[in-house]
Amino acid sequence: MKDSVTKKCQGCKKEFLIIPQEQSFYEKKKLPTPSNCHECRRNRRKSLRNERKLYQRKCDKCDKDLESTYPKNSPYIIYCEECYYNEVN
Amino acid sequence: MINSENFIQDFRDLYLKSPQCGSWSRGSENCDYGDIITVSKDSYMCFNSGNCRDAYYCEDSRALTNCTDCAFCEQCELCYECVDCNNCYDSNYCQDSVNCEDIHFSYDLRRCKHCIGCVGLRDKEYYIFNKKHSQEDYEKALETLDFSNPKILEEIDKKLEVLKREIPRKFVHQFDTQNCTGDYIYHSKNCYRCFDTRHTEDSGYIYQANLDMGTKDSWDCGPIPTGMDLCYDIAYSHYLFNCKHLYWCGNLKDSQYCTNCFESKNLFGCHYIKSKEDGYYILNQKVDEDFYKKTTKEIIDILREKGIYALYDLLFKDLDRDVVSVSDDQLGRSCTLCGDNFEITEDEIGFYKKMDIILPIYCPNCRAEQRIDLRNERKMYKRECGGCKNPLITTYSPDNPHIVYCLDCYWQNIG
Repeated sequence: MKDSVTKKCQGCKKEFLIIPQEQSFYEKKKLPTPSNCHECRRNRRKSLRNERKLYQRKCDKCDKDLESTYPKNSPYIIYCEECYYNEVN
Repeated sequence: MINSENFIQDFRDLYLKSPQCGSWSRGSENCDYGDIITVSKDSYMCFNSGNCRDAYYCEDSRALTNCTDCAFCEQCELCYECVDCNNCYDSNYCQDSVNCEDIHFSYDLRRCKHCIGCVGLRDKEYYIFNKKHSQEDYEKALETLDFSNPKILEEIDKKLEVLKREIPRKFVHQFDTQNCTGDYIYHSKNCYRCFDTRHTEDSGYIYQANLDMGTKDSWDCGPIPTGMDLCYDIAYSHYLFNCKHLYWCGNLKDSQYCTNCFESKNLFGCHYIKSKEDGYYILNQKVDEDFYKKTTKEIIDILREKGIYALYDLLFKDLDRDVVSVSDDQLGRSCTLCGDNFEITEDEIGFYKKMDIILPIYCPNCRAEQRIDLRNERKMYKRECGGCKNPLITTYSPDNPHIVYCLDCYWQNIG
């Protein structure tokens, strides 16, 4: 069984471990070992999801009133369910 | 002797003296590092997840096989850095995608295979940045995709962001819902501002109710409530009826302000109790029914005077701070913790009246943050079990003053 590998996080500079099972996973998938510790990785994933806050806004296609986790000034195109299924799905 | 005037301090003292479980798992093997793990095997640093095998650093997920760094995913295999993906295989850095195989750096794909940097595609194969490629060209591109080169990853992220801004997305994530507001809601109806919840009905501000046992007629519950009926201010608990202000409890009825209590009813201000079907209990002491009714009413009046709105307040609020009081007529109010404005709705008031609860002065998000903070951060430390002295891997740091038990000692000693 391999040993755990220690690396220094490029984000918070703390040391972190990469356990043998994890190393095997990266080898199997031909991925590099991560450069950030698991807490910095977790924070990055958390930032991918919207905050748990609801805003009043309108559908960018049909102008219907919506309550969404995307604010009015969101850079994304936000559709109500109907418009979304007509266009994307 | 139970003295209403001393209740708050007595409750805090009893909490500190009562054992906590170091970390919780059920039906799992070789999952020592992690917390709230069920029916899993050989998984490391996974939290609030079930049915996982060979998973590492995964959270809030179900049925992951050989995945690393995934969150809010279900039934995935060989996935890496995926968020909110279901039924995906051998995919990396994807979000909001379902039934896909070999997809990378993609968002909102369904039934796709072999895609890189795509957004909003359905039933497609061999697409790169939403453009069709031949199988040969795709395989060449995947080969040259150097995941270890941060410059290449940055370029892909940039191109993906451009696509994300061109293609519409749905205003919330909901499936099989009726009359629900909030995000990531499934198989539910009449939910008011709920998040990451399923099988929930006629409830409000329910967060992370992620099991099938359902929640109904409840407000301000979560994280991780399951099987709630007529409940308020509940965190990390299961199978409760007509209960308020609980943390880490299960199978309780008609109980308030408790932690670590199970299979009982008529508990008030108790810690670390099990199987008390008969009788009325305040601060773990058995009392007669009349005394219980009279004293709990007295205590609740005192708690309201001192500005205790939730279990978190009862445990941690600084009682020397000035008590803020807001008139019940003021339905639009300002959160006394973060300053955000929030509204109290008619449905909410109906629930508070029915359950005899005072109107909150904290906004729903602060209330949820308080409930989340009742449990330790997702970090593991080495300690010794306070009972059997065996080494214990726990979310309690070595300098945390609580008494921490391994699961065996926790269940063996509970009163």
